[in-house]
Amino acid sequence: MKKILAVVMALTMLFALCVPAFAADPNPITKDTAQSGSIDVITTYLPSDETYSVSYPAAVNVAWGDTAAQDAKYTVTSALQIGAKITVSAAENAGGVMTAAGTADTLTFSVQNGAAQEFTGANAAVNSATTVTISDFSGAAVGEYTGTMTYTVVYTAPTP
Amino acid sequence: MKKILAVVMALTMLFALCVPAFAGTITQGTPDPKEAVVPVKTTYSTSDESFTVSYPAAMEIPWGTLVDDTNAAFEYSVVSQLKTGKTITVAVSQTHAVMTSAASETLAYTLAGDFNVTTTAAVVAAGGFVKTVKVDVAQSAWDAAAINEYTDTVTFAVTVNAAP
Repeated sequence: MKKILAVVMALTMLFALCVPAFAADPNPITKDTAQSGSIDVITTYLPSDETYSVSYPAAVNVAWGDTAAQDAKYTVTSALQIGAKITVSAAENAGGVMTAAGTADTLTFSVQNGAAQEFTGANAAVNSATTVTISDFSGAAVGEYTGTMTYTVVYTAPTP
Repeated sequence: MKKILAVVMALTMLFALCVPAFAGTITQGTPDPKEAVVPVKTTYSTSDESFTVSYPAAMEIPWGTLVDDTNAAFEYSVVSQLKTGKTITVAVSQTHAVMTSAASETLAYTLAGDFNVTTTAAVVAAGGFVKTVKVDVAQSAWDAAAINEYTDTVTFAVTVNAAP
């Protein structure tokens, strides 16, 4: 057992060694050259390094009779490459018509601040000002009315 | 005792966890089209329901008025916004078969018109349910009665009917 552990530890130390790769330098610094040399530090990246996420609410609930604007914001976090962008929008479906079981009555909601908005580069949990409003509850039997809205994200790659 | 306390504290911490309503997320890995459909819903309680039954403050009948005279007719109305399927019934009834004077004289009367009606929808806008109840005193009753002030009471009883 001790021998096994010793071998394992030796291998661990071996693999932990960081051996720098020496570049082939066409202009080495010697006693006969300038005593300093500059090299470029360059980032490299892959498409998979680019990330973005747009979070949206699971549902937007409006208490009966509440005509105030309701929070329906989305949140953008991104790390996009130069020239790339995401466009986010939120809009009501079917004109915002809301229906309920057992009645032909309807309500209508509208989305504010849902127009397409572009995001580029890095964004750390940026919130939109999107809201939902039902401005009129009259004429409809009291009940649970449901409509839907859609959040859309479009990614645009950089122009080559 | 210590074990019991430890279990109680563990359960307390567990129940204290606030689990937020999970939102959705669209990422670069979300299949196209990168769209999310989110429901918009109303929430409600019975306290959001409302109704108003308006009825006359008094039903004053000029001496000799017959049932088809305009002075014999009195309006009542309903405005409501109830849960789907509910309706309202207004029952109008007289307390006695006769009106009585201070001198204990009597004058027989009945009610006619819309004295037992039910709305047909949960939502009734103003002016959408206006009914008329009439006080019917026969000519012969007027002729037989000493001229005086006769009174009785009429009751407007409201019932909210549950959805079928």
